[in-house]
Amino acid sequence: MKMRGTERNRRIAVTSMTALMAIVAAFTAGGARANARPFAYGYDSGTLPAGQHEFELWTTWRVGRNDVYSRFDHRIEYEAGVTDTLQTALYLNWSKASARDPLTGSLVSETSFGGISNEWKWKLSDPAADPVGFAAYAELTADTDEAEVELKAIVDKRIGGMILAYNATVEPEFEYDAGEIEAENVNVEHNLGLSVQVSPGFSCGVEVFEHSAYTDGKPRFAALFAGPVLHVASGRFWLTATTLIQLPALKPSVSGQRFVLDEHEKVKARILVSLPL
Amino acid sequence: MRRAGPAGRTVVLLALSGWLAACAGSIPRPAADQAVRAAGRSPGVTLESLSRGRALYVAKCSGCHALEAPAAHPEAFWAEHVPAMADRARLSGDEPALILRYLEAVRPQSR
Ligand code: HEC
Repeated sequence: MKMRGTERNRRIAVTSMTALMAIVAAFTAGGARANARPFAYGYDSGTLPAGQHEFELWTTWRVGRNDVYSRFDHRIEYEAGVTDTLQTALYLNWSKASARDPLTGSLVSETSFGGISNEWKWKLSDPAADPVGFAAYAELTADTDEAEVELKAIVDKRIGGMILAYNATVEPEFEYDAGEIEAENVNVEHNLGLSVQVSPGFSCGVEVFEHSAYTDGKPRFAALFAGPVLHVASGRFWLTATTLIQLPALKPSVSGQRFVLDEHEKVKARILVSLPL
Repeated sequence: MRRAGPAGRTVVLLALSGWLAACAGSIPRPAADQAVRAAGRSPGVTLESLSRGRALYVAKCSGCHALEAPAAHPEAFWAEHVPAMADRARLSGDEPALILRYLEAVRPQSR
């Protein structure tokens, strides 16, 4: 019955994408512009000016693994400009995952708190005023039994209404084990995005995302994703949405398989919205 | 993506850097003759004050949306939008004026 589930996932993805396009069309009519986040997975180098702040709501839907799997990740973010080139943010994370119980075969859902995160982003050059924009980024997440550090280098370039951005991310995972801190896994990610402003309130483009996982220095898998990204803005409100589809893996986690479907999904969709409070 | 050979990658890199270098000037640095001309219109304007205006424009106006080239809009547009954005960009004192003088000064002069 796996085929059925896959087919349904694909239909849900297509339906939600269509609904999104309709929302986008509705907002495009508005006309104002504010390009807060051009990409939903990748980052640009921009930071809020000193004293300015914003709330963002993140929703990520990840669907389709080897077996039935669907998961929503939610984050509420509060970000603030500390100086004109240094920005910090606080996140509250939680998620709801549904998967088939391997023993009973029934669908089980679980909601879990994903800890809190603290982000720092330091902008060193500007993507429009300098030859390239550059920012260094660090995010710390603390959960009850896990701590994560995410370090990112962000490079971007804006030309007219077009933006090209590349991120390289390293993420060692630490575990608290009997009072000791161990670094077991290291994740390396690459994000590439290109987006073009079509009208003042609307831009669209593509995002590519690659994730390589290493355990004790040995590569476990390298998964590759790509998909369209849309950004709409009206006044102080903006929304950025991406649907990434998994492409054949650069290194499958299970030899003989084309995709990484034990630790990743077939489809990942993310929507970021600003909450103009 | 991984399959481009070294030659292909070099061509892409060269093309990209040429393109980036060509386009780095959309937020131009003020020149001495522009400062002289601007001082004729707004007394007190100097090359330093125009450079501060550019630095403020880049630092305060790039956080929420793309910076636009000064030449992309007429003076009247900037004269309306810079004060309108002053609050959002948390500008104070003479900062809006410094940004505005910069945006006006580096626009190509109409004949
Ligand atoms: C805190 C976010 C933020 C900052 C900082 C900011 N802006 Fe804006 N800007 C916006 C938003 C949101 C809009 C959309 C229209 C509106 O709500 O007025 C906008 C619209 C504009 C527009 C109108 C574009 C059009 O075509 O109608 C201009 C021009 C502009 N901003 C210039 C600036 C300048 C100059 C600065 C720096 C002094 C600046 N902005 C700083 C958020 C910001």
